[in-house]
Amino acid sequence: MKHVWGEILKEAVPALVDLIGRAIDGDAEAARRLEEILSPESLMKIQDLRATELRKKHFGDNDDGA
Amino acid sequence: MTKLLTWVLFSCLTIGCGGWSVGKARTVIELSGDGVQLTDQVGATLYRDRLDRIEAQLERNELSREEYDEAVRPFQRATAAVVSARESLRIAEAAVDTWEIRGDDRPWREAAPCLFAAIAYLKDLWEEVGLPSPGPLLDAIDIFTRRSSGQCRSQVVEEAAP
Repeated sequence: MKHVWGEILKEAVPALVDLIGRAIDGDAEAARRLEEILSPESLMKIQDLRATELRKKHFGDNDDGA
Repeated sequence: MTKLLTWVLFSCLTIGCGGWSVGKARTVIELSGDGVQLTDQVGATLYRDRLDRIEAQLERNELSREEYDEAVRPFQRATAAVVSARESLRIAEAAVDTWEIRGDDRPWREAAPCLFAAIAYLKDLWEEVGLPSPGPLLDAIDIFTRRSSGQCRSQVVEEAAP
């Protein structure tokens, strides 16, 4: 059973990391897909992460938590 | 009329005005949960649309850091409020479980005011940006306001508030 889960995760985790990366970069389809996957948690939080990345990219620093 | 008022006053003093039951607590948690989820879904869509526009402006160098912060701040506050409400919901749910299993309603009496504060704050934020609050959230607030609730002593709600 552990072996089966290992195989599943081996494929799923890199795909998820890729999806998160694309969502943060502004890929609308990736963001929508990610929202579906993570629906039990806050969807707004995902956008919040994107906002932080945008700030970092354009102003070179992190959000000050305002 | 006077007799009726006297009876209501007597009932409030002896058994409490609009007291809670496990069933009522579960109903209000369910309504709050639905309301928070709807708020989160609508909020995420609005936030995404706003960030799409902001990103386009940033690419054209049309926004200063201050303007960016100002544009994003209402959504950051709303996100913090959603996260806080979810946390309050988890605590309230555990409190009702304790009440049901052990017959001790003290955890619920402590958790209820915090859940109320969290969802009321969420509703206020929504109104601030001119959006109608989801029905279940308003129903939950209505039930809370008709029942006795003390002061929230948890930091979870305080941290979300500005």
